[in-house]
Amino acid sequence: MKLSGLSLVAPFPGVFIRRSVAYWALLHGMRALIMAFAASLAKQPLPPTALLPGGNPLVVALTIGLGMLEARRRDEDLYLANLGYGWPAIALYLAFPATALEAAFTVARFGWGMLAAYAALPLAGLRAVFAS
Amino acid sequence: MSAPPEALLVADSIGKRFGEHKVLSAATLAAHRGVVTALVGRNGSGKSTLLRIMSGLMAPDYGILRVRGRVYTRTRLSRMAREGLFLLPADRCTLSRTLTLRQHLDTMRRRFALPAADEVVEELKIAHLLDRYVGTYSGGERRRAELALALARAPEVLLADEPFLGITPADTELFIDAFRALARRGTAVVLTGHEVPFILAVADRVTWITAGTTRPLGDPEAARRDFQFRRDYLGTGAA
Repeated sequence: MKLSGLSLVAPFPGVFIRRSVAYWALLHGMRALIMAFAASLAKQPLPPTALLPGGNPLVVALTIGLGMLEARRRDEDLYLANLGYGWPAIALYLAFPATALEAAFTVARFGWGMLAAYAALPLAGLRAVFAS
Repeated sequence: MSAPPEALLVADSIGKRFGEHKVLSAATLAAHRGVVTALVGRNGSGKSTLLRIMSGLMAPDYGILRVRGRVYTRTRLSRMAREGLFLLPADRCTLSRTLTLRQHLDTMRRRFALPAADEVVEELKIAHLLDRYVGTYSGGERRRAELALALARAPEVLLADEPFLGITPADTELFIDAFRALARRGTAVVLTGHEVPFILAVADRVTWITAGTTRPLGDPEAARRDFQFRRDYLGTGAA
């Protein structure tokens, strides 16, 4: 019987996906708080979009790193190794949700900007017509 | 004359250094099918290091591992586990503290398509631990649960680092029976420890690790008779 080294057996996929989402949200929450605090200290206006997640690969890397450390702290890595799963399997399950969320928010952020620009184009054209 | 048992895992001429301190210089150890091998030696002699290298948890500086004919200069525990190895380390828990023993056994059963482990649970008298989280176990309960997992896995090779550490005398008998049962089923068992009466009671062969190398001593009786082993490890009081 050929055993897969990447397809984790239940309940571990759920455990790592939930953990990844939690760390990703927590890290973005902390990032937003730190940015808001820094802006208030510098008395600089902070655009609300800067507080939104997206476009931050460092958060994904930190999510994977923290998830791996937590797996080691809970001795899940050793148990999974005895089941034939190495750290790449754990990293994969931690990386997938964080990357997907980060990518979705990045697309949404830039997508909304593009949509707004396209919506503004006809308005700008109308304005030009009325101005003439 | 019967054929010698098959060597399932061989660590050959292993060397390992930690900074300036050379722990292993040319250690060789084989795990044979159906044989319990005891690896004994003083504290810091490299028993755990050799076991960690054999399991793939640590890379050697030099030397090779042979797993049923395949040669590795370095490997990983996950790959070795897929080859049929199970590791019980002394310094870390093999169980995840956020799962119950039942969940561990179920996961193991589904992963390797194993039969239910009811017999093992009964044998080790751990039915009361099944639905408790591993994080709530005492040291002895944890060791019994880990052994249950190893028994349920019925691996080709079991490497157990100090399995008798912190175990009550009554549980020690359970452990000895469990190791013997595994060997009868064809598992190659390698164990370490300083609990000499128990180690020698369960072992078929004894290997002494000293000055960075290994010295096979033969069966426990031959080991007891070895003058140097008695003088340097067992102590002069050993009968």
